[in-house]
Amino acid sequence: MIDEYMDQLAEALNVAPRRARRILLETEDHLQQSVETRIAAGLSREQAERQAVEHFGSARMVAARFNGSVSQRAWFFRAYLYAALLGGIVLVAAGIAGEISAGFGLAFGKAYVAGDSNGVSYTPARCADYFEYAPSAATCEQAATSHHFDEIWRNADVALVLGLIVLAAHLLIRRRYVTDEDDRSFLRRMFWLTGMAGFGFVAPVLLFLGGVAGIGNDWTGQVPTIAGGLIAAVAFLLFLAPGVRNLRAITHEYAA
Amino acid sequence: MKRDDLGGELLKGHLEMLLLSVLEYGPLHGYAIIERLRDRSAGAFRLAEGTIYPALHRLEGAGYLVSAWAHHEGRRRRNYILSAAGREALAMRRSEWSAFSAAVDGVVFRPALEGAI
Repeated sequence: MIDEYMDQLAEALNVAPRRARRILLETEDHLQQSVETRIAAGLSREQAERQAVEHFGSARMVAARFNGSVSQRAWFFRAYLYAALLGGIVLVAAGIAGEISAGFGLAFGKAYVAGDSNGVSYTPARCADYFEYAPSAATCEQAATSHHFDEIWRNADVALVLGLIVLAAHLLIRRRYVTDEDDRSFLRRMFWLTGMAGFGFVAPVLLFLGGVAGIGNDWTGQVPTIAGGLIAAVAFLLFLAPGVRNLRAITHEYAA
Repeated sequence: MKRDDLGGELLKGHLEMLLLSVLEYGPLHGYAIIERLRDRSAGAFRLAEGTIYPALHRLEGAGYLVSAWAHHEGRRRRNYILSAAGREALAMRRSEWSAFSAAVDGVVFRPALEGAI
């Protein structure tokens, strides 16, 4: 009867595998203790088991209490936190790539960062706008490059600051509101796995695109793409070991 | 409702305070917590025993309890201990309960007292 109850409870539980194992172990210990106490009081094993199960409550009811402890609202909250965390990291990574590009541009020439590809031309009105922005530029192309370079630099600053604010807010919210073991475990795993997969995908794509476009165009305007690819590659390497560790843990838990 | 059977709805709202109180004087496992609840309430608190575990897990998640596995007669058993935050929460809930029950008594028993005067 106890085995049958444990099977019903295992089937009805809809929680993380590690938590399910803990619940089942605790329940089985409780039921065994309850049975032993009733047998010591003079009941037959069958009567003792029946009473122990009755007093514990139906497997469906007990499972519902555990399953319900992670409400739909809590899931939305997790998803929101997780999206904010990833968003923050992507913004910081983009900001760093932009800052590196800007530094490269200042050292070796803005055209590497914000120069236009061959064949790009501007209308006289557009050129006038650019000259207004960069009056010391000798050509329309230089004025446009100067304008685009400053745009990239400014956007990098904004991305970096915004990303750091998002990450700080995420940390504060997580420390204050995320206390459940499952929530922490979920966020941690999703963070490392998605980071590993995301940066692992983005890094080669950016490096390939930047490389292909740069080789045929004297690297003009390709530094941000290459820098983005390099930053993504570094991020991927940082995410790789913990990502693999978490992936193994998940595989191990679901296989158990 | 029978006087000697205070389970279900009445108990539900106060279960967490009761669990914290029971754990105030030392670590206990789930079955012992149930027995302690039953003993201290002179058998009045009867609830489906399985319902205390989700509550214990919730309290642990909130940082009010810590738990650890122990071995007992060949079985693994989870013992629960009140944390410092749990002691603070218990003190606060006791104070709230004291104020609440005094207020309820004031309302519920006042007519009888006034009628007696």
